[in-house]
This record gives sequence, structure tokens and C-alpha cells, in this order.
Amino acid sequence: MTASALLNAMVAAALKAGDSLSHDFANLGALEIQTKAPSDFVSAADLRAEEILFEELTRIEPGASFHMEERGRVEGAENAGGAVWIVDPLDGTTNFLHGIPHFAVSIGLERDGELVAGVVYNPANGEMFSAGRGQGAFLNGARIQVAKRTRLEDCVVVTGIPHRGRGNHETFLNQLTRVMRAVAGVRRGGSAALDCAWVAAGRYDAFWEGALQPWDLAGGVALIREAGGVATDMEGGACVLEAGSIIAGNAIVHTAMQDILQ
Amino acid sequence: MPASPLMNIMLAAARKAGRSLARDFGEVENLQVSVKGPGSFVTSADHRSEKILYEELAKARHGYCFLMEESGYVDGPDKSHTWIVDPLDGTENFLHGIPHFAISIGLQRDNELVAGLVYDPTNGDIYAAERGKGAFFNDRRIRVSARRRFAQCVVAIGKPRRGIMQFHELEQSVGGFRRTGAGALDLCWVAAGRYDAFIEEGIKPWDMAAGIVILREAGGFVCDINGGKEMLETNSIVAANNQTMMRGMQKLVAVSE
Repeated sequence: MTASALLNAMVAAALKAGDSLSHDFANLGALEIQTKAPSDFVSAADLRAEEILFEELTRIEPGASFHMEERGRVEGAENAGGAVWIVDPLDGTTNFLHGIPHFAVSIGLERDGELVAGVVYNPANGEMFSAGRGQGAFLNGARIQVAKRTRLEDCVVVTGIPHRGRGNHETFLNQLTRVMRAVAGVRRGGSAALDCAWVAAGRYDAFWEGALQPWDLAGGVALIREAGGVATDMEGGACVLEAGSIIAGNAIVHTAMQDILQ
Repeated sequence: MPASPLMNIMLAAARKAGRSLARDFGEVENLQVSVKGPGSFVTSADHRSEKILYEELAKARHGYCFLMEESGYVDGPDKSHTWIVDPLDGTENFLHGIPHFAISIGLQRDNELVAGLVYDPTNGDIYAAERGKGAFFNDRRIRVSARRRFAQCVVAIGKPRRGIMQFHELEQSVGGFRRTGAGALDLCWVAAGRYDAFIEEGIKPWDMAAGIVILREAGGFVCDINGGKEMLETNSIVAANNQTMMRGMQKLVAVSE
């Protein structure tokens, strides 16, 4: 499969899973009068989307391994060329549950340990972010780039607050306090995949967060790198997915953020 | 939307100013890749929107006073009516090409907020309410969420001007924090049941006038940071889906002088 055909197939898979999520999202309103717990409803929506992605992506790359939120690791065939799909069928679960139209399907493709393609799709507003290595990054077909601002005091940066009991809360608050003093504004959107995608699109100037899972990040990191940005773990290493932490932005802002966060 | 001549006037003005903002936003998105950024361009976008709103509202209702972000207070012969207008709520978002900003129009009659409309030009969403007639999101009636436990709540906050530690206790007890940078929309999202509460200090009357009417009509409650009713005077707001939540949250973020 050519690189662009592969990306088209990933986009199609994300759209199909997104349709399923949109359908469930539209039915949230009826939920308040039902007896079923909202979290069960969201888990079911999550699983339905994951099922669709598992099926569609297997068709694209038969024998590939999977690394998914619900299923965990699924080992593929030995002759599959080291391909691993890293998939979050519903990133931003809390937003989804609350009817906040800011959640996403995230798909990353790794080959021999390298991220080669990524797709992040928000079904609530139809924004499809996609990137293939060497092909650039796109939002609904139009080329996107990271923002060019270089002074932190002009920057709007986004972060995630670690869940209680996940990551070190004190460290995070200290980091947040230092960052707030240095930048124009801080945002918290509640979806790491979209935070990455919005950095790639030049909306946020930087993103940092710790205590993340590989599937929260794989699609988005591919986007940022193809949009001309730098994404590393908190220590500056390239293995973002393994470390589960991220600092991202253009090269200059990335360095400045890293200095502040240390 | 409640069907009334007043609502039609507010919506027509908002849509006209919204077209101007949407056009300018397209330019701003392109300017993200310039090192200088679109700073001064955004200021003029803001002014253009305010001028349209002023002209349209003044044409439709003669003599009302105005309180606006850019021009401040503009006196009129009809002292009992004041339009409270933010031509671009979420300026920082707009400046950064973030598609989350709004036009906010509130109407005060004899010192009471009686009507509000918030319009998001990026997706055409309309939040509107007139006192006693319910709150609407586009053509659908909205209501605040029914959540009653802090741990389930998602709380939006404005810029933490006293530092994040003011919110530390609250943050520890709720399900999640959001900060998306447009106070008028935050209030409407509480009204629509998306967020369960919204808290900001340093928020201006034009950021919240419309949102307060919409939230109240959706069944929500507001107070100022000290628990009183002086939101517009103290530039502060604690908004929530019900009174118990509002009181509980206000106590956690209250400033001991």
C-alpha cells in the first residue's frame, strides 16, 4: 500500500469509528432519565469504537500488532513487518460523558519502533487531523504547521492535570505555577490527542503533560513532528510513548518549556 | 430561542458582527506562521465587531445606554435600559487561531439582567434566554446538569489571577478542571449541562451579563466570590448547576481578607 493510500485508509477507519461515537454522543441527552450508570454507557461507546477500529485497521495491515486502551496489547504475526497500531478509540472520555464536544479517535502507526503515520479525529466538529512521515500534516486536507511564536510570554500552552494517584501532584502544581508566570495563557481541554493536534495546527504554542499512556499520544506525536514541531518526553528524550510524558512545540518554545519544567 | 422582537434584534446584530469576526479569524489563522503574530490585526477585528453591534442595536432600540468592552460606558436618554456587550469574548483564543470565542450581548432593565445572547461564529451556535422564557441552545431548550456530587463534576475556571493554589482544594475534590479561555461560553456551557460549574475572578460585566441570564433561565445559580450578588461590581463569579454546589464551591475558593 502506498503511503498516501495508507493514510486515506486510516482516515476512513477513524471516520467510521467517529460515526459510531457521534451516534452515542447524540444519545447522551436521553441518559439522564435512564437508570443505567453513565460510565457504563461511555464504556460501551468506547468498546464499540474500538471494535470498529480493530476490524478496519486489521484489514489495512493484516497481521499487525495492536496496542489499544481496552484490549491492551495484541501480538500480530511475525511476518507483518513490525507494524503496530497504537489506538485510542475515545480520548477525552470525561468530556464525552459530560456532553462536551471535545473528544477524539486517535490512531498511530509504528513500524520497527518508529512512528510513521497518525490520525486524530474529533467527530463532534468533523475536524480530521492526519500526517504521514515525509508527507506533512493536514487538517481536513489543508496543510498545517506549528505556530512560529518564539517568546514564551506570547504563548498559549495547554496541559493536563494528572489524575489523583497518577503522577506526582505536587510536582505538577509547581510546574504549573512556574509556567503560568512565564506564558500569556494556560489551557486545559481534557483530551491529550486533541491537545497534540491543536499544537500541530498552530493553535496552542506548546503542550506538556505527564502520566500519559502510549495510545493518548501516538497519533498526536506523529502530527506534531510532521507539522514541523518537536515532541520529546519530559527529560528531552525521543521516546515519548515509552516515557508517557510529553513536551511539544516549535523547536525554540520546546527548549524554553523544557528549561522551565526541569 | 425564545421568539420575540427583542431576541430577533439581538440575534441579527450578533450574526452580522459574527460574519465580520469569522472573516478576520480566517486571516488570523494564516498569521500564526508569522513570528510577529497577528496582534494589532486582532485589535481592529475587535473594534470592527463592536462598531457593528453598537450600530445595529442602537438602530433597533433608540436611546438605550451601552456598556462595551472597547468603548466603555456610552450614555443614552433611556436610562432604564443598558446593552452590555462584548464584541469578542476569548480574545486570546482568537489571537492564537483557537476556534473558541464568542459575541456576548446582555440587556439590563432597571438594574436587572433581563435578556442574554451568546453567539459562537466558528460553528454558528446560539445560546439565548429572556427572563421567564427559558434558556435555549439553538432551537433546543437547555437545562443545567443534575450532578450533585463534587467528584462527578467538571469545573471550568477563568485565569487564576491569584495563582493556582487558590483552586487547590477544589481541584482535589472535583472530577476535573477545564480552562478554555472564553468566559461567556463557559457560562453557557454550564447552562447546557456540559460543565457543572464555572469560577472566575477579574471577569468583566460584558463577559458575564448575557451568560448570567442564560444560566439562570437554565436553572443554574450564580454568586460573587464572597457569596453575595455583586458579580458585576466585584468582577467575580461562581456559577453552578444548583445552589448547594454553588455554595460549596464558593466556600472552597473564597478569599479570606
